[in-house]
Amino acid sequence: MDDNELLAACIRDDRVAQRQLYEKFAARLMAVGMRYSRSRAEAEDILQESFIKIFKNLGNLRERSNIGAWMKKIVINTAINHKRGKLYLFPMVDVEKINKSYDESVALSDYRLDELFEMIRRLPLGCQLIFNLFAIEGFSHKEIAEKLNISEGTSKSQYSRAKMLLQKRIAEDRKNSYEKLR
Amino acid sequence: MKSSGSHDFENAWRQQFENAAVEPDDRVWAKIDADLANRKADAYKKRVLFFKLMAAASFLFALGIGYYAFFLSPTRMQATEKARDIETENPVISSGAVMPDDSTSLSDMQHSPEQSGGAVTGNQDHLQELPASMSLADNSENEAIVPDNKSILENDLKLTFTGQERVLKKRLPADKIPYTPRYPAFRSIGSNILETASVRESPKELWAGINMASGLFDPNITYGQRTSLIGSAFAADRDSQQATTLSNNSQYLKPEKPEYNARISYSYGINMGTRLTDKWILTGGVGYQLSKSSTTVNKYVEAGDESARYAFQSNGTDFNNLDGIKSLNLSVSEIDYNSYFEFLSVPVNAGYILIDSRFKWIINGGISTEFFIKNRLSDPDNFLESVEIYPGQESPYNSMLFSGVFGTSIYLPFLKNYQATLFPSYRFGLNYLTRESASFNSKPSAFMINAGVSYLFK
Repeated sequence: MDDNELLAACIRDDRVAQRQLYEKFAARLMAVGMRYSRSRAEAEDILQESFIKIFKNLGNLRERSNIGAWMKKIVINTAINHKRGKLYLFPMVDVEKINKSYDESVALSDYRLDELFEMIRRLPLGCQLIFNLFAIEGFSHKEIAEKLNISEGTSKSQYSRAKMLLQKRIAEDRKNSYEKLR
Repeated sequence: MKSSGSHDFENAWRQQFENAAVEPDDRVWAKIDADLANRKADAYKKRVLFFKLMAAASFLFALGIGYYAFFLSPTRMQATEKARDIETENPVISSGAVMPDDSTSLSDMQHSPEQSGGAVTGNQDHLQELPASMSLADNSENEAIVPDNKSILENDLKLTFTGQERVLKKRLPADKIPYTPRYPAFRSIGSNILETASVRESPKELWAGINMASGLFDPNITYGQRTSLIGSAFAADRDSQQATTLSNNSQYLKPEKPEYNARISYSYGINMGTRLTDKWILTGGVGYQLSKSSTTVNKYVEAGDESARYAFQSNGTDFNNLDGIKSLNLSVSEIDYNSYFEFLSVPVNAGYILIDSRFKWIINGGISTEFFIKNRLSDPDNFLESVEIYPGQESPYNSMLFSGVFGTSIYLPFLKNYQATLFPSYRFGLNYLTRESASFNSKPSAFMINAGVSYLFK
């Protein structure tokens, strides 16, 4: 069954095809959900909800070649909606006073994937969300501001805080490793 | 999207997650599978519910139309009054001693006068003028017997039956007499005179008025599995633009379950009702309802640019890592905090009349559809920030609540066409006011005493 046939079968509500589509994309989308959630259980909730939306809206998908990106977008939006009720974002750090003493370059290759997830999860909720949207998805602060209905300044300050916290954590890890080696 | 440019920090992170994959638990697919199956079943149930509602609506509509046609139509009422006049002028008719009853056809009388000992006589000239539509050609047993309406109305009709001759002297206007297809002429005159003359005066009431109510409202808030941190309705699930939050630090904040106390609520609106039968009434209306409840909070936070104070409740002790909070005040004694719910109510009640004398005593039951307008949370001393929550996609509240209503009502007539009403009732939510995604549940109930005045269209 090629992709087009698979999608057509999914649209016809063929459960076997839907299972195949799920198996094909679930792991990658789960990783996206993990970045936006506070726990594995929450990520699985997001994934579940996303796939329900995916199957429901598959018939409306125009460009089937972009199905991966389309599905990822659904996961991101679902994750944002998950957070929305718990989220109130306001500028927390004056953008002008951001501590820029940390090194811009970071070496993440020493970290395992689950450690990276953990690092992101430890960020405050708003910071986690905006860090994902800006640093990993590549949205601009203007786009994030529109998406979350907040000001651009809020997005910037939340991101700056996230970046500062992550850099601080990486620096501490480096320091600890160095001390262990000594 | 922005271009990645030369941001080392962002690029490093992006690379790490580029091909990231995490296998989800097998249960995830099982849940999706079950959800998809449930959705199919729900869609079917919705269709069935739709048809049930349509059937119920059709039944009520037919009931209404039938009631109007049978009891309230002007033709019917005028015919009844005329019949009453006839009864007054011709007491012999009402005695039933002379006129044939419904089961006696003219043909019986005409075809076998010897057997019955009676005969029908009238202005025979008019018998020839029977219109085709009203002729009894298709009814062989009544053939060429019955005079048309006009001939009867314009001339006295002599009926000889069981050896006695009686004359109907009353003339009804032709356009006031309903046409009954089967035995047109005879039934027209016969049934209207005889049946209506013997009909007991049935209650024909329609009323409309205004009403006000006051009582106690309880939102009945409970907490589900998703209770996260702030523990009360104020913040955790509010619209993101209005809410304060302590971020997702549920590990530090163990929520208390605040007790909501019922407070005085009131409503006002318009109502109307009708009497369907001797024993049943149907009432409905539209009303605005402001329902109040209150609780106390034991802490507040200062947040945002203007350091607005937001209430929350917690018995937590470790408030480190509270993100975005400028100040957390733990030393506050309990602060009263009120929750006001506003609804537009559309109740429909049926009532059974227990006593119908100088006043009516009725037991009522029905359904009220409550359209959620707003929930306002405020501190009476304005120490804490007021928050307003509206219906919408992000709202923790559903836009509609269905409530069951039961109670008892007393209708007391006064002046000529007015009646006062007293209606104590208990209302209880049939569905949750809160959405599934909310971290708390609310199924409100209320005890209300409704008083009103209505004008009676008899």
